[in-house]
Amino acid sequence: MDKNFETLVETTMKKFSMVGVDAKGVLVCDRNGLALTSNNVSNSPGPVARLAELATSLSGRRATVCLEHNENQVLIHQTEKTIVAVYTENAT
Amino acid sequence: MSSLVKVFDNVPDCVGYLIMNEEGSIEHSHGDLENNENAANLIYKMVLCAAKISVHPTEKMSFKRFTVSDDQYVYCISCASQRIYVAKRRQESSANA
Repeated sequence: MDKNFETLVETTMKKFSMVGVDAKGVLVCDRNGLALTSNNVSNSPGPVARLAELATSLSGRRATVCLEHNENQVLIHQTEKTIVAVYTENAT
Repeated sequence: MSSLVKVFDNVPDCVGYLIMNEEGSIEHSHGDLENNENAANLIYKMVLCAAKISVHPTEKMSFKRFTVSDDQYVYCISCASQRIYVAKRRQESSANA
Protein backbone atom coordinates (compact mmCIF):
# COMPACT_ATOMS: atom_id res chain seq x y z
CA MET A 1 0.00 0.00 0.00
CA ASP A 2 2.90 2.34 0.74
CA LYS A 3 4.26 1.65 -2.72
CA ASN A 4 0.91 2.63 -4.28
CA PHE A 5 0.94 5.85 -2.29
CA GLU A 6 4.44 6.72 -3.45
CA THR A 7 3.53 5.89 -7.04
CA LEU A 8 0.46 8.09 -6.76
CA VAL A 9 2.58 11.03 -5.57
CA GLU A 10 5.13 10.50 -8.35
CA THR A 11 2.38 10.31 -10.97
CA THR A 12 0.79 13.48 -9.63
CA MET A 13 4.12 15.32 -9.74
CA LYS A 14 4.53 14.28 -13.37
CA LYS A 15 1.05 15.59 -14.14
CA PHE A 16 1.95 18.89 -12.49
CA SER A 17 5.06 19.20 -14.67
CA MET A 18 2.97 18.56 -17.79
CA VAL A 19 0.99 21.73 -17.08
CA GLY A 20 4.11 23.74 -16.35
CA VAL A 21 4.21 23.49 -12.55
CA ASP A 22 7.51 22.04 -11.42
CA ALA A 23 6.86 20.32 -8.08
CA LYS A 24 10.28 19.89 -6.45
CA GLY A 25 8.96 17.95 -3.51
CA VAL A 26 5.76 16.65 -1.92
CA LEU A 27 5.07 15.82 1.71
CA VAL A 28 1.91 14.12 2.95
CA CYS A 29 1.20 13.77 6.66
CA ASP A 30 -1.75 13.13 8.94
CA ARG A 31 -3.34 15.68 11.27
CA ASN A 32 -1.05 14.65 14.10
CA GLY A 33 2.01 15.60 12.08
CA LEU A 34 3.13 12.05 11.30
CA ALA A 35 4.56 11.60 7.83
CA LEU A 36 2.65 9.28 5.47
CA THR A 37 4.88 9.74 2.45
CA SER A 38 7.35 12.23 1.06
CA ASN A 39 9.16 12.78 -2.20
CA ASN A 40 12.46 14.68 -2.02
CA VAL A 41 11.55 16.46 1.22
CA SER A 42 13.79 16.43 4.28
CA ASN A 43 11.67 18.75 6.46
CA SER A 44 9.71 17.70 9.52
CA PRO A 45 5.94 17.37 8.97
CA GLY A 46 4.95 18.48 12.50
CA PRO A 47 4.93 22.27 11.95
CA VAL A 48 3.26 21.75 8.55
CA ALA A 49 0.33 19.96 10.14
CA ARG A 50 0.07 22.55 12.90
CA LEU A 51 0.12 25.43 10.43
CA ALA A 52 -2.66 23.85 8.36
CA GLU A 53 -4.77 23.38 11.47
CA LEU A 54 -4.29 27.01 12.53
CA ALA A 55 -5.19 28.20 9.02
CA THR A 56 -8.46 26.27 9.14
CA SER A 57 -9.23 27.82 12.54
CA LEU A 58 -8.48 31.31 11.23
CA SER A 59 -10.62 31.19 8.11
CA GLY A 60 -13.32 28.81 9.37
CA ARG A 61 -13.19 26.83 6.14
CA ARG A 62 -10.69 24.87 4.04
CA ALA A 63 -7.76 27.16 3.37
CA THR A 64 -4.47 26.94 1.55
CA VAL A 65 -1.31 28.36 3.10
CA CYS A 66 1.45 29.52 0.79
CA LEU A 67 4.86 30.32 2.26
CA GLU A 68 7.13 32.24 -0.10
CA HIS A 69 10.78 33.14 -0.30
CA ASN A 70 11.58 34.85 -3.61
CA GLU A 71 10.72 32.28 -6.29
CA ASN A 72 10.44 29.34 -3.86
CA GLN A 73 7.03 28.41 -2.51
CA VAL A 74 5.43 25.74 -0.43
CA LEU A 75 1.68 25.24 -0.69
CA ILE A 76 0.02 23.56 2.27
CA HIS A 77 -3.53 22.28 2.14
CA GLN A 78 -5.55 20.23 4.58
CA THR A 79 -7.89 17.61 3.17
CA GLU A 80 -10.35 15.50 5.16
CA LYS A 81 -7.74 13.12 6.51
CA THR A 82 -4.33 14.42 5.49
CA ILE A 83 -2.23 17.52 5.00
CA VAL A 84 -0.41 17.91 1.69
CA ALA A 85 2.60 20.18 1.20
CA VAL A 86 3.86 20.84 -2.33
CA TYR A 87 7.22 22.56 -2.81
CA THR A 88 7.43 24.46 -6.06
CA GLU A 89 8.74 27.56 -7.81
CA ASN A 90 6.73 30.50 -9.10
CA ALA A 91 3.37 28.73 -8.87
CA THR A 92 0.42 30.93 -9.89
CA MET B 1 2.60 54.98 13.75
CA SER B 2 0.58 56.70 10.98
CA SER B 3 3.44 56.03 8.57
CA LEU B 4 3.23 52.32 9.36
CA VAL B 5 -0.51 52.27 8.69
CA LYS B 6 -0.10 54.04 5.36
CA VAL B 7 1.49 50.94 3.88
CA PHE B 8 -2.01 49.44 3.66
CA ASP B 9 -3.50 52.37 1.72
CA ASN B 10 -2.54 50.94 -1.67
CA VAL B 11 -3.49 47.34 -0.97
CA PRO B 12 -6.37 46.54 -3.37
CA ASP B 13 -9.59 44.97 -2.03
CA CYS B 14 -8.33 45.34 1.55
CA VAL B 15 -11.12 44.76 4.09
CA GLY B 16 -8.93 44.98 7.18
CA TYR B 17 -5.41 45.07 8.48
CA LEU B 18 -3.46 44.38 11.63
CA ILE B 19 -0.03 45.34 12.93
CA MET B 20 1.45 43.39 15.84
CA ASN B 21 4.79 43.59 17.59
CA GLU B 22 7.16 40.63 17.88
CA GLU B 23 5.47 39.49 21.10
CA GLY B 24 2.04 39.30 19.50
CA SER B 25 0.54 42.47 21.01
CA ILE B 26 -1.74 44.42 18.69
CA GLU B 27 -0.34 47.86 17.85
CA HIS B 28 -2.94 48.83 15.28
CA SER B 29 -5.99 47.21 13.69
CA HIS B 30 -8.66 48.26 11.25
CA GLY B 31 -11.75 46.94 9.44
CA ASP B 32 -12.53 43.22 9.71
CA LEU B 33 -9.50 42.69 11.92
CA GLU B 34 -10.25 45.59 14.27
CA ASN B 35 -10.25 44.46 17.92
CA ASN B 36 -10.21 40.85 16.70
CA GLU B 37 -8.02 39.29 19.37
CA ASN B 38 -8.87 35.74 18.31
CA ALA B 39 -7.59 36.33 14.78
CA ALA B 40 -4.53 38.13 16.11
CA ASN B 41 -3.69 35.24 18.45
CA LEU B 42 -4.12 32.68 15.67
CA ILE B 43 -2.03 34.69 13.24
CA TYR B 44 0.73 35.13 15.83
CA LYS B 45 0.81 31.37 16.42
CA MET B 46 0.91 30.84 12.66
CA VAL B 47 3.90 33.17 12.31
CA LEU B 48 5.81 31.29 15.02
CA CYS B 49 4.93 27.97 13.35
CA ALA B 50 5.73 29.13 9.83
CA ALA B 51 9.15 30.30 10.99
CA LYS B 52 10.02 26.64 11.62
CA ILE B 53 9.03 25.49 8.14
CA SER B 54 11.55 25.67 5.33
CA VAL B 55 10.27 26.95 1.99
CA HIS B 56 12.75 24.72 0.18
CA PRO B 57 12.33 20.91 0.34
CA THR B 58 15.97 20.16 1.16
CA GLU B 59 17.64 23.44 2.19
CA LYS B 60 16.88 25.68 5.17
CA MET B 61 15.02 28.71 3.88
CA SER B 62 12.61 30.84 5.96
CA PHE B 63 9.60 32.56 4.51
CA LYS B 64 9.58 36.22 3.53
CA ARG B 65 5.82 36.33 3.45
CA PHE B 66 2.94 33.90 3.57
CA THR B 67 -0.71 33.91 2.63
CA VAL B 68 -3.76 32.06 3.88
CA SER B 69 -6.38 31.77 1.14
CA ASP B 70 -9.89 30.43 1.15
CA ASP B 71 -12.64 30.96 -1.40
CA GLN B 72 -13.62 34.39 -0.03
CA TYR B 73 -10.63 36.09 1.56
CA VAL B 74 -6.86 35.97 1.60
CA TYR B 75 -4.69 36.97 4.57
CA CYS B 76 -1.30 38.33 3.51
CA ILE B 77 1.24 38.18 6.32
CA SER B 78 4.77 39.47 6.47
CA CYS B 79 7.31 40.55 9.07
CA ALA B 80 9.63 43.55 9.08
CA SER B 81 11.40 45.66 11.70
CA GLN B 82 10.20 43.55 14.66
CA ARG B 83 6.57 43.87 13.54
CA ILE B 84 4.02 41.55 11.96
CA TYR B 85 1.88 43.06 9.21
CA VAL B 86 -1.38 41.40 8.19
CA ALA B 87 -3.72 42.47 5.38
CA LYS B 88 -7.07 40.77 4.84
CA ARG B 89 -8.15 41.06 1.22
CA ARG B 90 -11.24 39.94 -0.62
CA GLN B 91 -10.57 37.27 -3.22
CA GLU B 92 -11.02 38.41 -6.83
CA SER B 93 -13.69 35.81 -7.61
CA SER B 94 -15.87 36.83 -4.66
CA ALA B 95 -15.38 40.54 -5.47
CA ASN B 96 -16.68 40.00 -9.01
CA ALA B 97 -19.67 37.90 -7.92
